Amino acid sequence: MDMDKELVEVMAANTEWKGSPDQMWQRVEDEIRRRRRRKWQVPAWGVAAAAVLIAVVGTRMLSPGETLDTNPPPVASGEQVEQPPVFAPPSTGATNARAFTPYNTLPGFIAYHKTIFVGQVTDEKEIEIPPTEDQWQTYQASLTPPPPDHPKAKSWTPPEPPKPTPAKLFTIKVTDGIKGIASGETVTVQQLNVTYANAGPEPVLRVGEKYMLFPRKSAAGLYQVGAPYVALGDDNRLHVVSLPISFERSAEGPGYLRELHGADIGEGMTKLRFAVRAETAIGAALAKVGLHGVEGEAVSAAGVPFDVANFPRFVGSQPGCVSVGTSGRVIASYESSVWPKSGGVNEVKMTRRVKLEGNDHETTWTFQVNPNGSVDGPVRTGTDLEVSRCAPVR
Amino acid sequence: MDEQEVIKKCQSGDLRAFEPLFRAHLQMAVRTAYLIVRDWSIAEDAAQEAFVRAYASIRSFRTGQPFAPWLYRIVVNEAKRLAARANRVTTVSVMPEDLMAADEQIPEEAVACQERKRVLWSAIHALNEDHRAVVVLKYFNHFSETEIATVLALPQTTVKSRLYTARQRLAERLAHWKEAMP
Repeated sequence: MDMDKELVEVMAANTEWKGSPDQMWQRVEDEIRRRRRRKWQVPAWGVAAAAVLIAVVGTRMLSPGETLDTNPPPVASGEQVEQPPVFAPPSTGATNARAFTPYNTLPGFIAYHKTIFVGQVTDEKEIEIPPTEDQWQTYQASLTPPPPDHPKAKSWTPPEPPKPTPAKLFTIKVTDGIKGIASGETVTVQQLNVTYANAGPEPVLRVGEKYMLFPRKSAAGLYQVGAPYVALGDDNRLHVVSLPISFERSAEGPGYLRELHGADIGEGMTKLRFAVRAETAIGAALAKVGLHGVEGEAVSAAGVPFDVANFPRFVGSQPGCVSVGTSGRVIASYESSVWPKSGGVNEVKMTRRVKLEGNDHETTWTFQVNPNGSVDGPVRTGTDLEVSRCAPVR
Repeated sequence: MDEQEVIKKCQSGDLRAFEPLFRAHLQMAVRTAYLIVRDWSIAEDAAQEAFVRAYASIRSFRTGQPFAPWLYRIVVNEAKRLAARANRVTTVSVMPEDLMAADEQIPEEAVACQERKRVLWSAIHALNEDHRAVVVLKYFNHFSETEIATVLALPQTTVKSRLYTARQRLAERLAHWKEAMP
């Protein structure tokens, strides 16, 4: 019997519940009623405070000759009544926050490179996106201190909880229609503000500029945008859910990629868009893996990195942070480099995606890289590694 | 029972309308919670609390969408919350007697088959909570990967990755057991 069928059988056979549905319903019903009563109960001090407030406000509102029966002035003809915004920022715990939760949120992507245009951004506004489930899980996992005999035990301090991610909402007027979105229609996209080392925020979308929407839909209902990666939300609006990683080597030299942009397009696929500075041995290397010419794009299947000689591998990343003190043997190592734009501060941040033997998750760590390009310690497959400093990629 | 109609009644405040919805999903909810927390009493508490919370937030449910993934998101979250609070030590449940059949004369192949199931059951429990949750939702609740992503509020790629890793680990346990067999 194959394992899938065995799993179904084993779990079904071992989970016979012998409880009483009637008793359970009674408990549930009682609890619901109890919470309803508690919700509507106002404590005595609350009633008193409300009475005082009403008295104060009522006294201030009324002046001689006025009564509470005065109606507000009617809206003058032609005057616009202010409509609530299409997207109001969700308050903490608000159940409509789901409308703002993008699919596959991957905070921490940086920069972009706009391409061709079919829609023009007409408006932008700022909102806050709560931390993702993964961020909370990582945070909660990292609350566990290292064992007392660990060398880092004395210096360990609990990490800060994840902060909400700022994002912007952009309204895009579609000028060339695509499948599912007609010309003239406006769509709203949500973009995550991202920053990277010493370069400041780099908004992906700008009012007045145009962006292309690829009519490419994966099984998850995701569309790929020329710059950000959008998803059609439950509210039938497009939400930017991830941004391509883009890095540009500031150092000139033969054989280096001038620009490299990747985007996780779902289903374990990564789309790589690149431009090569000059025809060099790199061109030949690129040709070996199907990347042709000076500019182009290629798609890598899940788990297959772009194995280009002398280039960083890019398999897509899910930035995160691992607890200080985590250690293990590096099983696989992928790296992507972020270099400051020319004219920026001479400090770079290298992000490595490593998988540790014995750990459940593949995580991305950030290491400081010295200006001359060396890393604080080698990180290669087989290296024993311990996290001594960790900062989430923002 | 037209589930969506029942939900609309619940959304208008009719508590009695919630009962058929509750009874339709109760068994699977308790069993799902048990597979995650591995303790029947905690599983019952988790399921009870999940239904209370589901009713409390039923107005946030968008009619027209499937109800099960929405409900099981609450069930799984409650199960994990109570499990964390109970701070359980990993235990493995003994397999029920009908699968053990110790008193009968059993052919050798059947013994091996039962033992394999025992190993698999043990291996499921040995998975960490994240991997166990995706395995339970796929093979017990028969949710699609998209639905699992909704239940766990995870990207679909993460669901795929966890399922892949979980299956690998289960297969490794079975392989080790097979190698160790005389």
